[in-house]
Amino acid sequence: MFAGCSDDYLERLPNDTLVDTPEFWNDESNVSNRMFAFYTHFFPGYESGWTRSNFWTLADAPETSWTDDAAQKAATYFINNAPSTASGAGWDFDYVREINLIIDRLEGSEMLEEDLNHWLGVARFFRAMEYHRLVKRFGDMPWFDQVIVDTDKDLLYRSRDSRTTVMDNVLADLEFAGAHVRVSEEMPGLKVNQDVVKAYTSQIMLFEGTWQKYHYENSAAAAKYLEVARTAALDLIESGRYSVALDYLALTASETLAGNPEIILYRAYEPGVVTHSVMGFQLQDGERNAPSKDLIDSYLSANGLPIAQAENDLFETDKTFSMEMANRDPRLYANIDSSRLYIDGVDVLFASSGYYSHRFINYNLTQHSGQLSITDAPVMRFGEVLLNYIEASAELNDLGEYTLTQNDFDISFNELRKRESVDMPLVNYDGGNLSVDGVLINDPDRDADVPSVIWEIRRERRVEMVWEGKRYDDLRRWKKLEYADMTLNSKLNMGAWLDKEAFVLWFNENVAPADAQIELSDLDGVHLDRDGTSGYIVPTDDPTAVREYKERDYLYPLPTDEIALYKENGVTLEQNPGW
Amino acid sequence: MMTKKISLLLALFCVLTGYAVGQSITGTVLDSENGEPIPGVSIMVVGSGTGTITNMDGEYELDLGREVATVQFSFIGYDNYTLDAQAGETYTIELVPSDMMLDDVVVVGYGSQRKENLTGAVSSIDVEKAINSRPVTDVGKALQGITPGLTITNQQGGVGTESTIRLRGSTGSLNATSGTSPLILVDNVEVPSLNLVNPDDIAEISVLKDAASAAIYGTRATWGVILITTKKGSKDDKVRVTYRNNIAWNTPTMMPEQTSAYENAKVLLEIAQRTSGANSISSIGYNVDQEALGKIKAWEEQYGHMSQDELGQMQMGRDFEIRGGKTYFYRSFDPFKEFTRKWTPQQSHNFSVNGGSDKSTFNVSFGYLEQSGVMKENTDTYERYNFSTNVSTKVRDWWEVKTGVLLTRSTETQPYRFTSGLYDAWYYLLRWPKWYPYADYEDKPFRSAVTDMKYANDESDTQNYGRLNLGSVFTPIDGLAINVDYTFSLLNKNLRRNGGTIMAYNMFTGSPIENYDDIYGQTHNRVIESSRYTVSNVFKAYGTYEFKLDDQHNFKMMAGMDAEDRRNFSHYSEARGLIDPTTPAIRLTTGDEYARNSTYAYDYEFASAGVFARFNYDYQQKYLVEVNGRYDGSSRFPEGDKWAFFPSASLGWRVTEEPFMDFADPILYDLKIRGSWGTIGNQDVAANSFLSTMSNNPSSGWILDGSQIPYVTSPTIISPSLTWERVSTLDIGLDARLFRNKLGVTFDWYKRTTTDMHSPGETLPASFGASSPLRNYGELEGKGYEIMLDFNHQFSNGLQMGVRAGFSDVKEEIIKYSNSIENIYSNYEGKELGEIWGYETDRLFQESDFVNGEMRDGIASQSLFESGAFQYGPGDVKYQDLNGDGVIDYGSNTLDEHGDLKVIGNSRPRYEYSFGLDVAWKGFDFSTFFQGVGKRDLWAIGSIAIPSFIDNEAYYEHFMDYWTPENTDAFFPRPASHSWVSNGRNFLRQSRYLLDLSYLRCKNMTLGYTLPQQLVSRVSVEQVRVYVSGENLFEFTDAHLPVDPESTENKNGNTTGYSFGRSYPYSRTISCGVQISF
Repeated sequence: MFAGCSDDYLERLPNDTLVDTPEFWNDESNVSNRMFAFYTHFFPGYESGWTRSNFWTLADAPETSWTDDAAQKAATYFINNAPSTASGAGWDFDYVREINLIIDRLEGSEMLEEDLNHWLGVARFFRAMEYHRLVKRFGDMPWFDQVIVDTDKDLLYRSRDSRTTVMDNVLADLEFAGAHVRVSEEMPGLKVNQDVVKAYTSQIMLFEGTWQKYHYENSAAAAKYLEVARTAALDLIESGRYSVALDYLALTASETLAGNPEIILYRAYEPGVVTHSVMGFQLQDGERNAPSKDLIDSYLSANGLPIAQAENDLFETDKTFSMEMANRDPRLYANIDSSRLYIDGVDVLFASSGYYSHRFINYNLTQHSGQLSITDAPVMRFGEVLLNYIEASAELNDLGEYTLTQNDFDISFNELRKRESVDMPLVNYDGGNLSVDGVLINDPDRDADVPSVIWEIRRERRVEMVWEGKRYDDLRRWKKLEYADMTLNSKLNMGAWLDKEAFVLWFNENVAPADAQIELSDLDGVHLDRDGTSGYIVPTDDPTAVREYKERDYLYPLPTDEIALYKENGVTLEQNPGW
Repeated sequence: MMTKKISLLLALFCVLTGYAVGQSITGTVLDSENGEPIPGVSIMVVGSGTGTITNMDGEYELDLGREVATVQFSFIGYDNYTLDAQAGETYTIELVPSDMMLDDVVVVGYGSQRKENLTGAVSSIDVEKAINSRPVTDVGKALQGITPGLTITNQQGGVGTESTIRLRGSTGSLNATSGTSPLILVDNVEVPSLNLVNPDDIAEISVLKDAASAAIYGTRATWGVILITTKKGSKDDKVRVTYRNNIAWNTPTMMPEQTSAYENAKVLLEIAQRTSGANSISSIGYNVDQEALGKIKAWEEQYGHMSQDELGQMQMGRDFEIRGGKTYFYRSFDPFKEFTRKWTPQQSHNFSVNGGSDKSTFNVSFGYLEQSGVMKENTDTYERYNFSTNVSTKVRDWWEVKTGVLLTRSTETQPYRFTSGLYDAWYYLLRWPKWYPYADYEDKPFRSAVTDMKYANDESDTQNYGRLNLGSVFTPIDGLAINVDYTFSLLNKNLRRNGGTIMAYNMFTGSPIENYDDIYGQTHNRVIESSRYTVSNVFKAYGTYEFKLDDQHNFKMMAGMDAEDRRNFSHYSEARGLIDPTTPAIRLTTGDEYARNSTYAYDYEFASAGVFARFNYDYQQKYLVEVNGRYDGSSRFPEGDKWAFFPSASLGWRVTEEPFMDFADPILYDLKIRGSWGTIGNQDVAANSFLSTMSNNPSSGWILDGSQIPYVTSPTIISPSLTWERVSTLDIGLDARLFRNKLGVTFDWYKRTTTDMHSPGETLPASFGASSPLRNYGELEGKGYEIMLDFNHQFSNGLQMGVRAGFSDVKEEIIKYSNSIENIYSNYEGKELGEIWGYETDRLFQESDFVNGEMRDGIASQSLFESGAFQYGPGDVKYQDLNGDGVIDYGSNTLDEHGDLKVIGNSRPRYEYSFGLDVAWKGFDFSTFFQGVGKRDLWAIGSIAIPSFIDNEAYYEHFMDYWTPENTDAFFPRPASHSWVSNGRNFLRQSRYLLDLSYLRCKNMTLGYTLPQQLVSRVSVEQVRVYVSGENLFEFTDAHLPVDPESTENKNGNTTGYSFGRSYPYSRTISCGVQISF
């Protein structure tokens, strides 16, 4: 009796948290708020605070330095051992669950059908993004399209579905999203809309198509995915809503990207609200990771020809910094400070290779130092869509599933060349070859496995999107991690040519104040690739401390705890090969 | 309560030599049982303050000062004897040995109990001893070691800090948010914090340790109860005024010290050389190379003897220079010496008026405490005001009305913190090497913790606590008493943080003096105000009925109900862009405003209710029985599961009351064997454990329209079948008094089992996508024992002494838990809580272990822990290959396969003990109290524990005994970079560097003197006592690091442990005070 009458007294529902009821999901703005939980996960941009992202980085995100772009003073290594825990391995289904739960709740929602399909589309887009992320990491994955109940053993211990099964489901999600997500949400560039979906469709499907082609030689799957990538990119190109921005550097060093015609999605930063340290690190810290010789050499001369090509009379030598820098693709100057070398022992802001990268620095905003940088981060830009388009088209052409034409280059590749601040010669596609101003492009440094046209498309991609966090994925999908192996790629652990004596003279005359002149011995810590005082800089001189790759590095290891747990439950969870 | 008598005696005690003849009495004092004379008996003329003691033969002569007077005879261990004396007479007095326990009444749940009749594990604390004349700011600190089983720890030093209180273990349930924290009741109603209680207001404290004694309070009392009773007035028609003060000085117990700038630079260069072959280092804005090393040494030789004042501002060239764009610093600072105070003052004053008559009593008290902190710049302070009253009056014979008011206001003020609480000034002052510049350059400061404090505005947290109690006691018939009480309380905490702008040379940039900047940006150019409220209502009603049958059967019955609700709510306001930094106010800002703060904007409530009954029966006070039952309800549980019934019972047998035990008297004076068993529900489970909720997170990190957009979180995963956890305690104990009550022993053994513990039902694969929902599955057991001893003796010369000691130990173990992987770092069945897994250290490698840089054959490979340039070599740590497989490894980190790992220690305190001694003689009193922990280990991390934990920062004095080819039997290994890794390279968790935090500490030592009463009574003063007292005076400890042995791994609220050893220091205190009553 006492209990009965005091049940009301003991009823205390939460006052400041919501209870999960069906009504919650009827309200579009609630669902919209729920979706913002995923933005920084899928679109981290420059990350925030001291956390650094895949964009220009030092050691925080080693994956971005597992490439041929960065010469490292202390090499970062691929993973050594299979981690034991799921969280340590990144074997993580939390987002899958959260997204599946949203889809589940939305299916019972009383929203208008058009609204409902939009939000279902956004949720399925996120699911596609998440599965792409997981597949990229692990390959085959168990596919879940529902919220798993903790007692449903069959589902919990589902073994890995084949990569193509999962990616077909991803494709279905992307297609649904592409059809139903609204074309434009207010605040363009900051919310997921159909254009964002299409742009990512081209990225994800290009990844998967090339992976299928190069790793599995599965031409049918490759062609299917590449065709989707190509079409999605083409849709955006034909929409006319985007164009290449005038200024290349503005993409990575602008206080705001709002209104930039090339931006499809960006992450905004605001002083005192959310700030980042990507610019701060590039501005203030010595670059222990700096552009490698391999990267610098991939920039064309201003005539559109590879520097090593015999017909290239614009490039003389790389044995003097100023001559190495002369008459190159202007994007090189946007990437590195071409006025001088930055040498360890002499400069606070030294670069391990001598090449000082400054693609993320806005010199008008230097007061926002440290983790207080406020430049906006380009998350998805039209430039990438153009590159996705031309690469997908060329790969399809290679598979015999498409015929590449000059027009394909004109609407994509050459658009980037025409960028006002770039203004590089346009390419001509004829008879399966590329030429500029009548000279056939034939790079003597080309990897013999790669056809010339694809080689040049890859070069354009590397140069255009340098430090945007794409290179590692690119090397993996092309099955070219060997480029990131410091023993196989001689130009990776290599920097600029340094004539120490000449440098000391030049530095004392042009940089150092009279009371702080430097001496040759200040450069003792800089190692060269040969005896004497001239040679190419070698960032790491310890031959035992270099990064080598193994075949297994293409896929990440699964957590050993999970494998053991599956085994206990009578199910085999296959480890990736080599781990 | 025997000890209480000593002080009573002390108060009355005074020595006189008779000077008048004719108004004296003479005689002898004898023991009534054996007729022996008793020397040293105190004899006082009541109301005059004159008195004497008996001589060796028990004889006395006392001047009455008048013809007729009342004389009181008292001696420890005997009942007092009062005599109406006539001058000139001779009296032979027979004192009766007192049955002290019979007099002692102990406060228990909803009532009191004679100590001899107790059947549960209840200890009552001698408040005068524990608190009086100790310079402690809160009751918690005073309770440390005071009763076995009660563990008090302080996470760091500092002003106004709270103590962590745990009873019988520390975890209780893996799910309990605050471990085995006992419920703290002041006058039967919970207080939010012991800091809010003025130690001087406390009259009695009881600790209810076992389930049977605590069960009457229901679910809140799962982990026992601390019952505090405040002072009430007395009915003796006298108004007593008391003033007590304490003036104290605190000094840090121990702090690590940076090594000299030169040594620091040298070792960092060695590490750099080893790590990357570099011969220079750079970190934030400073650099060191070989040239700088020489200049640092030269600076030390030339200027090292000068004070910072003499050196003045930083001088380019002398104190630092810029070469090749890099800044090199040469000048040394000792930041700890320069910027902290060696002694910091503290004072407290208490004033109370207390009195009453037949019908009414009252007590009014006022207290003030002020404490100031260690930093020189902008010193932090803590101030507290307490006010309390207790009034009761008999309206009718059968109706007593009581009311009480408790008001506390405390304010903690410190400089605005620009960095997080984890990385505070303590962290930073000790973080950088001694060359870090703390002096200005060209009148402008460098960025530093000192600069932050010096130019910062203040921030303060003020607590206002008010409590009103209104109650009545009805006694309609004989033996029946009905209590009805209502208490309203309001706690309001006001946080105010006045931010601002710090302009300084930014040391965190490559070239500091080129960057004279607003260091912290507009995030900190702000004002924050937050008010947090806790409002609670407590209603209790219960009746007690007592009766006897045939004078042999004693019955006592109690039944009642209680209901309690509490609501916590808070709001947060932040506005940026101060118009005038010297007038920080929300109205005077121009920037963005924020209100959705996940820590400071909240609203939640809670309610519980219960009906309860207790039945006591004893037969001739020989066989004792107590039965409790409580039907308990909590809002924490879902519909249909809100209520549960929890029974408990206890039994006692007073063996010495049996006729066949007569032979043992008087050696075994009293012996009671008791046992209890009870179950209590635990409602300290995660909030909304039964509801799938979604919260609004204010910071998605995604910016729209210039501000961060909030997001709703995913619904929590719940298990619909979840219900109460049950905590059962079996307690077996005995109480014995020996040697005519001089020696007392109390022993308790207990087993506490938490069943139906909220724990993961089974290990789910990651594919579930969330941690597995909680179920009532796990089981945790705590087993321990407690021993308490006390001994009191009065020597014939009047010297009284008392000794007390306590010892306790407890172990907690997981009995049942679902975990199929059994990772050794996770919870698994059979795990002893607190265990530390690690490697057994063999020794340091020596050069002879290597041939041409390769490890000799037969030495187990440690290559698993090598990375980058780090390879094991001479001077590095050699681990033992326990499983003999030739490789040092961790297997799969599971119980089945843990490689060379083993349990190397345990972080829980074991074998806690304490002892104290009190001596009183001729107005002097001396007491000392020691407390210790027999065993506690800690794997400490962070830069104080692991050399070069972060590269290129301070190296400490205590690391300087490191391996070099010349110093091969060093304690620390050859320096190596550990770059933020707390379990790697030379500092894998291992036996050699496991921190031994056992200690024995002199907690307190007090010397007091009570002025002779005849002297003070002339100025109408009843008593004057002056004393000096020291707290944490010295200790014995074996820790190999300069950290206080009471250090815990973390600071309040922080979990990473990087700041270990670099937080607010623990203090030693010396104090003096005076206590006057009239």
